[in-house]
Amino acid sequence: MTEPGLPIFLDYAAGTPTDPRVAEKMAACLTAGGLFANPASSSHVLGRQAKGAVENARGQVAGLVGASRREIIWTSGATESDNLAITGSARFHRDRGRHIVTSKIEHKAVLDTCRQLEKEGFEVTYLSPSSVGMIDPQQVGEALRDDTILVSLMHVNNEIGTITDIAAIGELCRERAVLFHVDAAQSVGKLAINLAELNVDMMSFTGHKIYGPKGIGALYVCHSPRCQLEPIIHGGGHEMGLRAGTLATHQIVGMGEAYAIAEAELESEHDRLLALREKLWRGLSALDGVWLNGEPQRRVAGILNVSFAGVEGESLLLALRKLAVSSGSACVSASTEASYVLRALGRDEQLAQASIRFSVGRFSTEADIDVAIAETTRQVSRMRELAPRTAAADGS
Amino acid sequence: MEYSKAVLSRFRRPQYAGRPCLPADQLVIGRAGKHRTGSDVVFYLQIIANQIHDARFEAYGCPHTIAAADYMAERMIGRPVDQAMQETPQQLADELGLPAEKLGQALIVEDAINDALEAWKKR
Repeated sequence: MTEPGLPIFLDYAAGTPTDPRVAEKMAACLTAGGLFANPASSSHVLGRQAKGAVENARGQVAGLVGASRREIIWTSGATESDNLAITGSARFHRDRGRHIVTSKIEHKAVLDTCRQLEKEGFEVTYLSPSSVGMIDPQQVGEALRDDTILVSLMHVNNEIGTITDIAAIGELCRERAVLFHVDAAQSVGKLAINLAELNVDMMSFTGHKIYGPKGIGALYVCHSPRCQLEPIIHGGGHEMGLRAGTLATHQIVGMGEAYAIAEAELESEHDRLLALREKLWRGLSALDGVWLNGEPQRRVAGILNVSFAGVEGESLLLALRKLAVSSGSACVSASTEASYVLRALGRDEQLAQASIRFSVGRFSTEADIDVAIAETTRQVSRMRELAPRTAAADGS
Repeated sequence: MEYSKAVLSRFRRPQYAGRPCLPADQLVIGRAGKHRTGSDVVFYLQIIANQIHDARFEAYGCPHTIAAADYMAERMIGRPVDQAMQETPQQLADELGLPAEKLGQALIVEDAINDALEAWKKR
């Protein structure tokens, strides 16, 4: 799949290419003769046709996760879904309590929303993960208080791929009448999800992590028991009054098609990706001083996060320019900050920075993995040879 | 982060990296920075008749650190010891196109060289 001159794409957890089958469906929604009309224009047949396509897509998304069609609210992506779920439920239930539970390794869409709510008078408990990135249901249970109104945790961690036990946590929350929100941006289409059997009140989805377009997402809002939210976007009462704004038919149709394809290919894709990830890990772990980040077994198939001792993070990322991967560090103006997720796992600053997230996907091949192993081995070895011999050992 | 051509070139193919294969008594060694703070630079100078005959480095650090060390090693060879470090860190940064926030990397390279020169003076 890699085009000559372009890096090998191993960053599927950040965003996927739109599947050509999806793009074809989307294109048919854009121009005259297609489903271009406003789906809210119920007065004419073109509007009703567009609405039909939107509702079909809603059914495709609901179908993948065991929800009913009326429980799916379109948004602009998982970030908006997280904002709507957390802010919307907190504000609706503020008279019942002002305590929220989340973890230190959530996506910024959750953490920053919680911080905003703290400014509005809510109190947030940030749970610490274990050294392998797991949040134990017991920790959640112990954090719940009489005034807790919401627990928000991700299903699969975006950096290390660990899987949270949302069934057990959902049960705990339901027993205590606490709402449970799950960000499923990294798990939907990769793990089987059946919301009919889970005690989850809200779940965030996105299109672009599973070969749909960017700029479209959805929020599952449980109807039974009924989960109530305050909208955060106003202006027209779309989406059952929860999310105003003209529906983007082409984006919605694309997300629906992507979810339908994911449902059909979930099992075979899972096994293939797992084999590629394991091959990559076997190859990389032949190097000394290589550490796997995240629980070894309870991890989604496509993500492998590895720390390399004795190399500096920014140099490692530049040296690996033949690979499109994500780093454990983020360059923030004058400093290069280590990943807060890896730091929360207890990795030291230097090791956290010298971490790479490899994520494989639908178009990854064995040949891609061979190149990734060879190139990473070569560059890590080169960086280590450049470093002073005693750099890692002297404790300086 | 974007990198200048000079930084990219020296990072990818540093010409003066590695400890010279010489007995310890023929080398002076200087070191600056710390591994745990992200930059650790060692300079090896071979000085013959008060002139820098060879200069090599080892570096754990960002691409700018490696490029700055390589550049300075190249520039120092052939200079009299008392004129070894003619460039200020700012001139070094300008020459290599280091962004302002990376000036500190040039300072660490300078410190490592000065540490080696101090070691020479003490002999």
